[in-house]
Amino acid sequence: MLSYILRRLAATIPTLLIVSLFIFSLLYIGGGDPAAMLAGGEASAVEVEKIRETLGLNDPYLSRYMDWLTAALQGDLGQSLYSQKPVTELILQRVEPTAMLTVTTMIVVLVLSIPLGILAAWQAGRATDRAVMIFAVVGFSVPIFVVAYVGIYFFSVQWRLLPVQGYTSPFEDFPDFLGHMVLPSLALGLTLSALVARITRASMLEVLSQHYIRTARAKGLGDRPMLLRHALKNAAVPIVTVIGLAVATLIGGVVVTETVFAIPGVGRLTVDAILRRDFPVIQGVLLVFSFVYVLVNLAVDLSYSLFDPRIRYR
Amino acid sequence: MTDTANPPVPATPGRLRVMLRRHPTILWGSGILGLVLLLAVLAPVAFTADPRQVFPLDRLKPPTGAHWFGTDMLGRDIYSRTVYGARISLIVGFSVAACSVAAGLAIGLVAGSNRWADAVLMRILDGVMSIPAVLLAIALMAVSGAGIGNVILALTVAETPGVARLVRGVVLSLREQPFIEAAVASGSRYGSILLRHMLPNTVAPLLVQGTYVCAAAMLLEAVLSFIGAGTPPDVPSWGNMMAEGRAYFAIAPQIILFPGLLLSLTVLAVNLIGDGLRDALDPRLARQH
Amino acid sequence: MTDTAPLLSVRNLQTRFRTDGGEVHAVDGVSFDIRPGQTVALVGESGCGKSVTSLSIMRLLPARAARIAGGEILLNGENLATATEQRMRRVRGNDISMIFQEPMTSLNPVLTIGRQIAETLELHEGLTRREAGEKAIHLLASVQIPEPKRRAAEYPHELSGGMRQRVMIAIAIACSPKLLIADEPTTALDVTIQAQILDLLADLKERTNMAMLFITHDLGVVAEIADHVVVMYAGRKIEEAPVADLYARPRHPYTAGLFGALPVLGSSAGGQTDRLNEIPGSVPSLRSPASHCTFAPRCPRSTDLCRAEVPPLAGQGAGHLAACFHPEPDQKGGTA
Repeated sequence: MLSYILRRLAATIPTLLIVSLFIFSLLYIGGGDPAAMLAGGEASAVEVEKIRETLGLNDPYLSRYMDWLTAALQGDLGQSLYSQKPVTELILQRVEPTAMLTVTTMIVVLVLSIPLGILAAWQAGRATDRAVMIFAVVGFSVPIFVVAYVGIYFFSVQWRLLPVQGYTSPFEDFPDFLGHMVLPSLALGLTLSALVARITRASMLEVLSQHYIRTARAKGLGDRPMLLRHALKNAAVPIVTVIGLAVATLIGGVVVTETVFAIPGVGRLTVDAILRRDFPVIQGVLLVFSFVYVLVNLAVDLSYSLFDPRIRYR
Repeated sequence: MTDTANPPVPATPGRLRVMLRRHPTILWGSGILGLVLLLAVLAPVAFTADPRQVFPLDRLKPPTGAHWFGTDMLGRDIYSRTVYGARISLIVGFSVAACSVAAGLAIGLVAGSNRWADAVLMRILDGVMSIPAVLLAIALMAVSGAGIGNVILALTVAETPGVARLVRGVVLSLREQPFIEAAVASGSRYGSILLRHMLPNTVAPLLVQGTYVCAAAMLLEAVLSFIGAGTPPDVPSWGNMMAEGRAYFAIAPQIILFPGLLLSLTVLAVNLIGDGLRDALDPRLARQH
Repeated sequence: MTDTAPLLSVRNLQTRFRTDGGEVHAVDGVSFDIRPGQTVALVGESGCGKSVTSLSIMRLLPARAARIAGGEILLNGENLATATEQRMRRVRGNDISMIFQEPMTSLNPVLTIGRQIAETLELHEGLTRREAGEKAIHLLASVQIPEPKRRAAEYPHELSGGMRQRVMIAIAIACSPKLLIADEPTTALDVTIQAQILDLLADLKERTNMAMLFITHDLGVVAEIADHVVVMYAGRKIEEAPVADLYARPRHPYTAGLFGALPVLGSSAGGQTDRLNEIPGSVPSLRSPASHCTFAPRCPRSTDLCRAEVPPLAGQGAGHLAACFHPEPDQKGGTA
């Protein structure tokens, strides 16, 4: 098992190299002089030259990439053009709110989508099923900020039940943290729940038509143990796969959600960096998020053996 | 043999009618999308004012007879802006769908046909797909600057790998089919096999995938514009309008509400078409509905 | 013969499937009895309604596609056709259990063998997890699985098809059911494994006095295991008899055709065989109750009468019934 994990980790290296090369090359994709572009239209020649110097833009392309990558591997993602602070430090300062938002959102998604998906598959073709499917397609179509603003309008502005914006650390004031997290994680979780509920339903339907489900019923098992003990575990692999892939949507959603709710996380950092054309920060954030995404999907691959004993890693 | 292997493509009006009756979501989706499309095309004559015209005395007005959807913080007519915004959303959605389907088809066919090209292309696609689509598009927009063309380009880059993988999968699975092997054995050139057998079989899945790409692109365009990395600020796109409305949300929710609703409705329509097409064209999946 | 009360009595069973073209009468007025300890074989081509009959008894028909439209399924006098789902859960796996044709796919791939057996015991006998686990190992031993303790911890994919069918049997007999329904339990297995499974079933029957409804299209198997045979065609019972009597004197031309005693219209040849003759065309599926003999189109003995009326079941000797206007003559001389 351990050697399998190590080999799978090794197999992600080429992917991550390509990701890093791509992210590094972004500056040059636009064409023209990156230093001038970063400095903006009104910059003087001296300023442009200074940026060129800071970023080492005078060196050959590949050697610049190697330098950048080596530094990145050592945890040095360069310096922000705006605040002159190390990018790594900027990201680390912002990790907590983003991590918390991700966790609360995932809880919302799991609590909402999997029961709904099971319910729909169990009631396939009936009104409950239709309602869940309508929720799934609507939830998947409504953008996060629409859900977010409707939520803010009613819960925060009209009824004053929840704080409008901002973030409190759970380590300082837990109830306040929860209050701040309700709307963001619901807004962000709705889209993902729609996706996961849909795949849960499809996967459960597939499983429910299998012979071993008939066997379970022939034993005299009720619906509940049949669905939860016999069917769900068999349906799990496609579900966790989609959850893993949905992390991409989640990361994209974090950027929007943190903007709407003024949560000082990595997503907000990204948006600020774009508005300030702070390219080292953009590259750093991209690299970190992509790395997390690849690792999550590796973890998903490895989790398959928990659900299905036929999948063995050697 | 070829006939049985090809997925059912509606060829006659009669079959189309049967398909629509069995999958009413296509009809619903097309109806809503058709209305939005009509509104967008007829924007100049659809009782709109100039979307950029400022009425300084009518700022932040709720919906009235003069301004159906109210006015924004500069006193611009939200109804007019929303109708013109539909143009941007539809142009971006359709363009990204068309471009990424074309690019994905080309890459997928090459990858599915040549093992060396496959190894290289798949590595690259894996890499690109490891970057969450929103972030990839954001980064591309950051280097290329605001503009509708750049939005389309950035979203095409983000959406193409998925399409390419799909096409590659279809080609690879078809290569194992007896009728392709027979064509190879009978000496058909690979190019003609690609055109005659492979291409038609990619039509159905591409149609479905293209629809989903269109819906995703509309959402992503709004996201990009919303965070200030999409269409230029002076363009009345739905994302821009919602971004502008943020500060006034508590007193004038209509600035965000109407473009948000229209966007949701349009994306919903496209997704409904996609779901219906998928069920109609893929009998294996349809069975589960 | 008729001195003991029947354990299971199926009376005029009507099972229908909803399809795009209307309702199909998959089982149309089938009746038969099973007495304690007796083995009844239900015989017919695929599509004749024999599996639907067994699923009707278990009430395991797909809920939205099929319904029991009429008749009674009496288990010790209790009508299962109208029993609540709650009641059926107590019956399934406890009073009546079932093994299926597909040993490779009938066990849950993500649960251990031991768990899948123990589950039934926990459910119906109220055993604790540990007690049930121990009894599961005994059950594995009783279906002649070597190293039962090790096997109990394994997953289905680690076992061969024959082994899996033994596990299915262990699950089925766990709560000492009064009736075991075996739906083509040996069809998917190798010939040598088939024989072992049949021996095991015969052995279990002898030890437990459990009744069995054995569904098959294999007449060789029928001769080996059954006491009494019911022959079905197109959803109807067309003949039933004690096994020896049926083999000696098949009365319905269809049954006779199955035995290859005479050529069936459209079949290749007579020829002695213990398998069903291949009869071209499929069993007709009925959109409405039969208005004539459904076998008439393929029957060498059919007359205008056969095409106008449904032949009633008529006595052909002790316990022998056949639904035919022109039954095969008694070749050995004796009559009813």
